[in-house]
Amino acid sequence: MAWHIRVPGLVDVVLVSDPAEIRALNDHPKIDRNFIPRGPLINRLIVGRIRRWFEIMGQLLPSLQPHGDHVRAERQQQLAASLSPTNAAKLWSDAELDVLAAYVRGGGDDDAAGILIQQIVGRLFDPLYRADTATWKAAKMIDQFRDGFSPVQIVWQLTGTLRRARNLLVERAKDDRWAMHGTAIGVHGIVQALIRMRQLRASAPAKSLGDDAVLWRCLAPPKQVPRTVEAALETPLVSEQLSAGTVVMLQLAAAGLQAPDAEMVFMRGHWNACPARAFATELLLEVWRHSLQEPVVA
Amino acid sequence: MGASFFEATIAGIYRVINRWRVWYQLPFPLAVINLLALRIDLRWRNLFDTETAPPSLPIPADFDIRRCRTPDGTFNDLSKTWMGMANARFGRNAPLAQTFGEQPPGLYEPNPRVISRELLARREFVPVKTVNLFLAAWLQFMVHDWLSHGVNDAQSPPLRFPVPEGDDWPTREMTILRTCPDHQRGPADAGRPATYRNTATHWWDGSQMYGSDLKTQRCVRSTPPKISSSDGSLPPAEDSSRLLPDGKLYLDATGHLPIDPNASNHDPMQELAAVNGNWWIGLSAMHTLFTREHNAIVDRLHVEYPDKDGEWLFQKARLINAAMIAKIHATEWTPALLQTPTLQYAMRGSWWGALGDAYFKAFGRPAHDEILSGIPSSAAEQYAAPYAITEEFTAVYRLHSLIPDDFSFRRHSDDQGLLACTFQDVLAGGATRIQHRIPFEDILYSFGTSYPGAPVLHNYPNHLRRLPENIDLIKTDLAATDIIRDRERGVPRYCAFRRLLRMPAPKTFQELTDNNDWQRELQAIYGDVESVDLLTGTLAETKPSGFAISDTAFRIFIVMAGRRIKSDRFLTDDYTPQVYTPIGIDWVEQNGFREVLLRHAPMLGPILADLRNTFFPWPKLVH
Repeated sequence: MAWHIRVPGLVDVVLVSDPAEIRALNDHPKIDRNFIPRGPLINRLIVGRIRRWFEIMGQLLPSLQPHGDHVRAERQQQLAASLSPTNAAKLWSDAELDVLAAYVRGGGDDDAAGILIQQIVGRLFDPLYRADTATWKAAKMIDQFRDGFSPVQIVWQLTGTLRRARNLLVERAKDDRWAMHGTAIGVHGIVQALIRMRQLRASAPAKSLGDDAVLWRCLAPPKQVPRTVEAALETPLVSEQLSAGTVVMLQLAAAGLQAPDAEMVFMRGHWNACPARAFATELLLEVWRHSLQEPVVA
Repeated sequence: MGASFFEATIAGIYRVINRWRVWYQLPFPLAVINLLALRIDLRWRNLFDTETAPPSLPIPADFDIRRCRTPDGTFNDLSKTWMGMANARFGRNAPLAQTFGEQPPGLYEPNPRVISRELLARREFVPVKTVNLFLAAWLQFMVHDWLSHGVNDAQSPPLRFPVPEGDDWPTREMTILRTCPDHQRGPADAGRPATYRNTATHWWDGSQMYGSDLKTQRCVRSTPPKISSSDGSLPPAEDSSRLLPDGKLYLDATGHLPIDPNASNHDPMQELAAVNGNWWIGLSAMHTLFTREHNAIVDRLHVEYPDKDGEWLFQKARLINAAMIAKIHATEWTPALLQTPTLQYAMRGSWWGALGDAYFKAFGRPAHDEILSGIPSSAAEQYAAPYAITEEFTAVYRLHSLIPDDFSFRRHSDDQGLLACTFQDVLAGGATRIQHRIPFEDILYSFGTSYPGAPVLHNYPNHLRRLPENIDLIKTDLAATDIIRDRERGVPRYCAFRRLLRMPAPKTFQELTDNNDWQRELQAIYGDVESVDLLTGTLAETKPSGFAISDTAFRIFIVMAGRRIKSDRFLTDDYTPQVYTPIGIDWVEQNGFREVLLRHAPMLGPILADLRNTFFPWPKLVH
């Protein structure tokens, strides 16, 4: 059963953390990603925050665009095809693989791995993409900001740190919304997976794990993704009727405990499936296999 | 949906407290609340559903699903009618990402045969002197009700690993058939961990006696055929001419189970029961006792409801018998296994509530609240996942060490020895030979006055470590099999297992056990404490005072023991006189293991007269 938080005039948000309920609501025709200011105060603040920080030249990042956006849908399909390692040229170099495998074996640090992954992801969209400490730090800040509210974010906003971080990433992405999504948001899924992989590689069962087990234990879905109710909706998942403008938070991380599979991590099989699934899983598996060739760093 | 605010608060507070003090180190009232907090925590954080495409089932015609248990366990939960049915998948207590089966080479490391020989093999019998041997027989009787992985997979390449030099095993390589795989996996299962199906109903419904399908149920309700059918199959279910018309289960003229004409082990003396695999005298005694009990319930119901037919009498007697078994397990067996004041109170409270059985007997259940009045008075609830027996539950119930290698049967009237034999002699058809040779009451007396083995290292029955060739012509070392089964089915190893239950994991062998010899032996074989198998770890673990099992295994018991009752409509919402009949509810509430024993072996009366718990060692009457 979803959790409906509703105070008239103040807030109207539904939190969903059950995999089956997420599936049902994600594909419901009356639930979409239409972030226009409406409804009670906190709903307007949530939408305003999304529009202010995740819009480039008047358009939201692709992961926040509605179901019916044909441009998004077509580009999503193209990307899925071009980012499949089986269909395209090499998407990462052997040298990069060596560095990442060394990291998984215990060498280097998280930030160095993050910069390298950001570089690889950025290059998918722009062969000249350049990641560095500043872009990685900016991406981490954007990711923290996206994940939820904390008081430190007020300081970031007041001091302009957040704006500068966003502007740097937009500039490096050359105003490409897809590149911006990949290098500011999507990149964290892969980096977090590598951090877990490093722990896994150091653990006793490392030699016992098949590919699926490695992926499942390393990949994790984003904490939550927002949706909006587009028309009055009655669902058995919520006791009251939902009205247009209600914000629905699909809590993928919580659902991932029940089903941390490709469906929850990449929304595989759904209209909003992540086009980088094949790329990310193949990269991670290659790094894992490579890491097994040498012992872990003591 | 998750825990309520109140539940979450209690659970949260105790999570903090438990960082410094384990529940059994707290004063009694705080420890009781701590157990409740652990149960809340586990219910919401350690139940995981593995079903991806459960079947939709037609409502059976001519069967009262509202007031009777279906043979296959369907329609217990009326919203998810497949829940707990025979052949539904095992669930998990570990997050699914942690449940992928181990692959070679890690699958065989350390070598399971070495673990069997060096860490598990019984050197000398270590008894538990606070309980009697019924504890072991009862446990297996229950396990056969709850779960079975079915017949092993003879089609796939078996698991193979070398037998170390100098080992007296007859071959240089040990072969273990894989667990029967789930043949109904679909596209939604792609990339997910392997799943296994429970061939028994998951419910606490007496399916070890009544079967998990209609054919088996009718078989045990029928007069067995004199000769085996030509194709070796069970008597046809539709052969209603042999069905007992009075609603009873078949017992022969002497009150014993009949011989199974189609026994899968081809033993001509194998007794017939709905579940008669891994049969030994302990199981034989329990089945005989509770089959007699079923028939006694039928007789009582018939007196009260003379116009009801045999089918009605059978179904009601089954409900009553199964509920009484559940009650005995919760209020007698478990408190005997875990002898601390906290557990005595908590386990009895799970049935009668915090106010206790005295209050219940005087005033009834005061409220529909599981804490105040016990689980049977509350509403069914499934918490984080649909009800299913879990693989982790299966793993912590590997308590073969309870079984002795040697048996002594003695006369109840004077404790005179009648027969001394080994486990080999009481297996399969051997149980029938014992039943024919020794009076039933003396078998019961012998169990009541014998001790089970302690679940510790170096106490695994040696007879189970060298079982004779089975129908697949494979000799079995059950200890090695136990080790590799957990690895095969993706049950996390000991340290990982404790972490997923939010228990501290030992960093060294010294933290795992305070037995210096075991520390050295474990170190020599495992090297790294993280590699210790769950079974080995739970046997080696230093146990809380009064516990026959480890605290690690107990955590799974906390969540699953209550869940078997709390999830079951017939033990919660429909545990009512309307469904059970007033006689039925009285039968469950007024009877326990002692009453069952005395009904079917009244001559044991003087022995049981002053016994507080029938699973405690019985006094010997020496004349």
